[in-house]
Amino acid sequence: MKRTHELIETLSQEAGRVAVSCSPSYWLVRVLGLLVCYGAMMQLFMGLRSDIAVRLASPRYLTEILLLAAMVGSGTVACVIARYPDLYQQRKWMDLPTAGLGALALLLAYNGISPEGQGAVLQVPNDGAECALCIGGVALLPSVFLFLFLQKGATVTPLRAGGLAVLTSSAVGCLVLRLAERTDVWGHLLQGHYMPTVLYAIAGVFLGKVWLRW
Amino acid sequence: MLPTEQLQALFRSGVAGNQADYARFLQGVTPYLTRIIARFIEHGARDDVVQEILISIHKARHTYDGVRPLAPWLAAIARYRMMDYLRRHYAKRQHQMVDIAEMESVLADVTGDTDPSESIDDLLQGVTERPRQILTMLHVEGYTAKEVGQRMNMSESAVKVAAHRAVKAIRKRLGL
Repeated sequence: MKRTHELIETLSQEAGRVAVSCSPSYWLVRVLGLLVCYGAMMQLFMGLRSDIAVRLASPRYLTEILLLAAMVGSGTVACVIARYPDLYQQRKWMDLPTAGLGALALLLAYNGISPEGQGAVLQVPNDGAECALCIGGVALLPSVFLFLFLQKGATVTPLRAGGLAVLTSSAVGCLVLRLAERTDVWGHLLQGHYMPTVLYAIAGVFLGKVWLRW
Repeated sequence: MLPTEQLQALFRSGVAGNQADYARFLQGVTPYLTRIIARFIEHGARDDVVQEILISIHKARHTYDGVRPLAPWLAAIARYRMMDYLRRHYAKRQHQMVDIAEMESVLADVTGDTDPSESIDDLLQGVTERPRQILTMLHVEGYTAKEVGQRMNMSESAVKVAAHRAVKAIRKRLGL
């Protein structure tokens, strides 16, 4: 107990004025704004698919785009609150990105078993690597940014936070590519877009274990 | 623990630069932290863990605004450090597992005509049934720890721990 008192004395002598971290809403607006601007820049660079107007009229395609956008938004919310040890006492927001991923998986499964998708299931696409690298390339900068953002906080769920950071960034990459690439082959989307996204998120979990512990 | 409102006020004052209030805040939360970890951490290590938690609170103080409930914030940091400690503690115990070869030096070599079980029976007096069975299987019947574990429905490490404890008790009884 004596050593605890000595430690408290030392810590209080070290303690100076500290700028308390702003509320999550402050960070959310800024981080989401940054991701949206970055995504828009990437989209300008990669362009839009020529049949975008026609495709957006398709309910399934529109749902997929909206789900990807929702994953970016919910992932950003989850990353912001993961920054606080007590999750800013808003634990329920941490589950939203996973729910979004689940909804996307259901949509993909539905597309796969639908009449349009069944022919595509039988194809064995081999052009997914380029798309996977493209998504990874687009996701790199936001991932680094989100990791630095989380490091400034004090997350007590480093693995989950790391996974969420990379998942959110990869969702940006997926969204940009989905709006730019003129292909809707189910097998290609699964192999070249969504499976790499999940693998990147898993890598993010391991990176979180290394870089987000404090 | 002091009332929450008082602690929050001390905290706010502390992060604004008042060192005395900050010290009072840390002293005020220490009993609460000790209570959180008491169920999981043995008595001898509690002070160390509490000190690690206080250091973490100090490092993470910029993440608390002094307005929202304090207890969940403290509990989250306490749990995080406690899990860190438990992980290290159990990892260290695994590395300290006794090798079977080490135990063989405790028991005398038995050669020639002597019935191996005779020489060991005296040593095993006072040892309870299960560890006695383990030592007999290891040193008389010649089973490996893994085989003993399979026969007695125990893990290999549990066999080694039980054997180590029995050997330690024997050593103590023999004054070694």
